[in-house]
Amino acid sequence: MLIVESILQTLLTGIIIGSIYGLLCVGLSLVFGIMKIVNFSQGDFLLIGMYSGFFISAILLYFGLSSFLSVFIASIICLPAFFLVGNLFYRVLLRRVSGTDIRLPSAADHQAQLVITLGISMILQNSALMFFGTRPRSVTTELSSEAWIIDISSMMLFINKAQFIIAAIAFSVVALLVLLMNVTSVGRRMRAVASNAMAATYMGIDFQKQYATAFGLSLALTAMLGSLMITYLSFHPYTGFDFIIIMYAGVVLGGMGTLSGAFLGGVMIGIIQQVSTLFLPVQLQNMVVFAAFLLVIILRPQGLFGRDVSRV
Amino acid sequence: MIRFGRRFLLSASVGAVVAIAASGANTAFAAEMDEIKFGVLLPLSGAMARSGNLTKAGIEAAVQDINAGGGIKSLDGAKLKPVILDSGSSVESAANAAQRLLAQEPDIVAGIGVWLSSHTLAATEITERAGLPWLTFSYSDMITNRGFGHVVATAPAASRFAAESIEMISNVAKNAVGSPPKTMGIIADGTLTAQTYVNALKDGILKNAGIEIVVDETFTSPLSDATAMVQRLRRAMPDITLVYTGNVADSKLVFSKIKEFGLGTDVPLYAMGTQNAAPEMLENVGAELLEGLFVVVAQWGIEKNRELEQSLIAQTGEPWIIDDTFVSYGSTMLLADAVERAKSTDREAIMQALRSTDTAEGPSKFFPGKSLSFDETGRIENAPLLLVQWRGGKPITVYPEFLAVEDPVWKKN
Repeated sequence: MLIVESILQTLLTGIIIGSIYGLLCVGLSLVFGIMKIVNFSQGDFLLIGMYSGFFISAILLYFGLSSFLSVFIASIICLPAFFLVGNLFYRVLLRRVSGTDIRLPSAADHQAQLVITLGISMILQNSALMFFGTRPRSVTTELSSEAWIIDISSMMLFINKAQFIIAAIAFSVVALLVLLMNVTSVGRRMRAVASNAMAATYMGIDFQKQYATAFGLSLALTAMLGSLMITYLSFHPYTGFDFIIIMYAGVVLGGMGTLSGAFLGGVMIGIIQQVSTLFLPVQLQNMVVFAAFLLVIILRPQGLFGRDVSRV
Repeated sequence: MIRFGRRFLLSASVGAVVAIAASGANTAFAAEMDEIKFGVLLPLSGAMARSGNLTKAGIEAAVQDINAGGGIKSLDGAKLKPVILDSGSSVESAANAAQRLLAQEPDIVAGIGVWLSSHTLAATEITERAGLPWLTFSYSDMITNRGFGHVVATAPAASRFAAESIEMISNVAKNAVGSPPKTMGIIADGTLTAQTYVNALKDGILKNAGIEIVVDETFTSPLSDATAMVQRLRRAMPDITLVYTGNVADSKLVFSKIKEFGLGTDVPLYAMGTQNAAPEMLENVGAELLEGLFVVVAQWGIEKNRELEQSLIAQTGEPWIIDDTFVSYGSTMLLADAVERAKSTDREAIMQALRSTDTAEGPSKFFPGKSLSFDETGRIENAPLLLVQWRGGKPITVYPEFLAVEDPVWKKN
């Protein structure tokens, strides 16, 4: 019975943590899949989302709102705010090094993108260091260390309330996003550009506008999630870096260019991380994630849920 | 009309230049005697900047107090002046900062720093070659075991922590429930400091204390989730659990999960290191989760330093003072006392004065021991470790009894 309890508990925790990773991967996948940009500053935008959530919720707390509600409202405020930031950011900076040749992303574009996004990452990280210092921050909410307990025939399973709510939000957001991409004209235009920017241009679609929207969406989702994550996680100016590797691993594991694949890639990372602790020391959980990642790269380079473009 | 020959003008000019230079040199000499410079290397940028700044606050407060009290009296009231350099966040940057300090400030009489043991090890390799007396509050045994003649360590050696912390915990448990703990859970990160401590426990200390390890978990920081580890803790329900985390983010995840699994009020916990008793722990983890947690530290607020603590709180704006600030204040006071006794700014004379310190007065007031002295390696003697316990959102010294501010509270398992 103890073994069953352990397996169920690690699976449950893995799915919850994985869903949070999943939304992070989706944020990155929007940039990576649609714009073909390797964005090294994604983790630092997550960090800025965390700081924004922290300060906005501090203001809301001052007006007597409960801590979790304050963080929740702060995350909603982050959505449009970071969409605009991302949009502006693309138009001012990335546009100059993205889509200069719409037929194929050129090597020169990639090099410039790499330098720009790495530079932005450093600027964001050091600005956070300069303005907020290295003091770790988080918001202790009434739900952070509370659990729903499932008691089934002498088995007790614990579900962290804050993490479960965030995972549910992440799942809903991804479902809405998939709907947006498949049903609305905005989504169809973005998919067209992702699929073939030149053909989309011939069809009268302004691909730069779609790139700006995709980048805005990506930052909005990442910052919103960052804002929610501060309810269970302490952060400091270097926190973004801890997540960037997980984001890329999830996107590649799930399949590049597919949003649902990226989400499932994140979920798989969460599950692998947790389930591996049943057989191996906790210390090796990230090693197992990367072993699985390498295995997928070797056996199925297009990712578990990606399409093999060469066969089309 | 008086006429000056070319030769006269030349000699007059040379004479004037020499006179001006000599007068300048005298002025410079006078200025040097007015102030006594010492180097300070601390991590003021990067991930350790918070600790570096808290340590710097202690040094600056001590310098302010020394200078306000008339400076170094045996040197005509010369004022102390710290030359503070950022040692950065890597061993290389710490070594470079030490090189820079020696090159840019040849007239410094001593140095203090670098906070992290590995950084101190690198920096003292350089300061030792220059014969510069160096005061450090790093714990690593290697710092004083290399046979260096110019290093003085004002914090107890790391090797003492394992045995003495178990002894303290056992004594507190014995007094509270009549018997020492029989089983122990260990949740520790994979850093060298944590693993050195844990390995020392496993290499006989726990066996000698009659304690069996029932949970032994090592994780790699940053921790993503603590469920698996805390689930094992819940099953084993050890008499005492060690949580050895190197940062607040990991601590928050572990303590939140302990409470989430309903163990918050049942399992006696102890942690190692100042970071687990720092104000940011309260901000991030919360008073409820921390209540009753024991933390082993080298210095803390005790009756002896009550006045100093209040003064440092007023100066730093911190809600309480942690050992980084206490020990850096005490070390600066010790340096001033050594210069005072040496009656000279000669580095060897100061070093001799530092090593021969043996007093229950003066700088001894700022260290928890009954007196202040150093062994032949330069490591502080008579420095008891302290056990502080989180009580109502503040860590209070509860052990050893002669230094305790309040009695310890042991959770009934």
